[in-house]
Amino acid sequence: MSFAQAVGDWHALVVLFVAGVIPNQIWRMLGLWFGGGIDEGSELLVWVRAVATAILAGVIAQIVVQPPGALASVPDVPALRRGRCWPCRLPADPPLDLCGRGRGRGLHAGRQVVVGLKPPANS
Amino acid sequence: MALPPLDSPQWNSPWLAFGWGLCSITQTILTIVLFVTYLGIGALAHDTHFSLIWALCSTLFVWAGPAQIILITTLGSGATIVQAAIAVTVSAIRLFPMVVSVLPLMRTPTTKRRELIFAAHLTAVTLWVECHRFLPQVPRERRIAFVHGLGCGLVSVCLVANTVGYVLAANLTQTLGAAILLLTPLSFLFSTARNSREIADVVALVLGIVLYPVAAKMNSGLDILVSGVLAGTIAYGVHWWRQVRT
Repeated sequence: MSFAQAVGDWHALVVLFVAGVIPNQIWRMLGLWFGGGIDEGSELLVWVRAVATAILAGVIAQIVVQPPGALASVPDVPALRRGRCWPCRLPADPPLDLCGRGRGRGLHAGRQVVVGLKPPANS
Repeated sequence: MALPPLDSPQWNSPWLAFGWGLCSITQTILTIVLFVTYLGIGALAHDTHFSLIWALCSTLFVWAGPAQIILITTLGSGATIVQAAIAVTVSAIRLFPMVVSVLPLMRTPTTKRRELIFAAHLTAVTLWVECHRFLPQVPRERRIAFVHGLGCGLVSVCLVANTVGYVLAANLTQTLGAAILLLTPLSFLFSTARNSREIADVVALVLGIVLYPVAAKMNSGLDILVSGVLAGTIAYGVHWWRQVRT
């Protein structure tokens, strides 16, 4: 890899600073400015830490709900994609039927086993 | 390797405290998690045709894993600079309360604000978690030097990981790349969970995860802020209620 290749074009570096560095440093410097006057044991800090934890939890949920890049490309379980029952692989609707045989029979038939998957229509 | 006791002469020199901070990266599993996460970011940057220097600069100056992933994926998918900047700004809101809550741990009455600038820059989830763990074992007047050491150590590990990931990218299958990217939410989850000692933290973590998908339905663009402030405030309410009762 040559030096020019490693650096790439300067335009991309400018974009990095405008869209990446500044939005992050704004919050850090606001925190520095604001956090300078807070006492370590204060109740306000308990609230701030709870909000920090909850926002972080939101970021975790976001990456899972709206996965970025390669994560979004992970294929579904093939059997599920083809509309077959899991685990017996007979054709079924919904795919995750847990041996309801697609018509509402069997041990788990009619139960909503996974949030978001409807139970069979005739159960 | 354990840190020396609080009254040890080892803490007399700020440089030694920096060194102890640097060595402390070997004392946390999060270093390995960070390494693998930044391996993934390096590979992602390669696949989206950013240069190696670009990836290293983003690690050095942004220093926030999710923001870097969001930046690379939004720019890579052809979004405008403004769209990318908004997405990154929203994800970076968490840094504000983190900095606010971590800086009082290392401040002394005579500390000037400008002495904390570098520590504020180094603050991200890993440092935030480890500060709460390590700093009680560090004398207060040496904490800034210790944090500088710890932060520099972590940044160095991530720069190496970026380079390795970038070079390896051609050989990384997409599924493996995806598995690595999944480490970011996992590491966030486990490090925050480990850091949650008080009831308010646990409630905030659980509610934050549960409320985000609900808030995302509103599609306001500020979903994370809405769910975070709401969940955090409820968690604080629980904490307050328990205190009032006892």
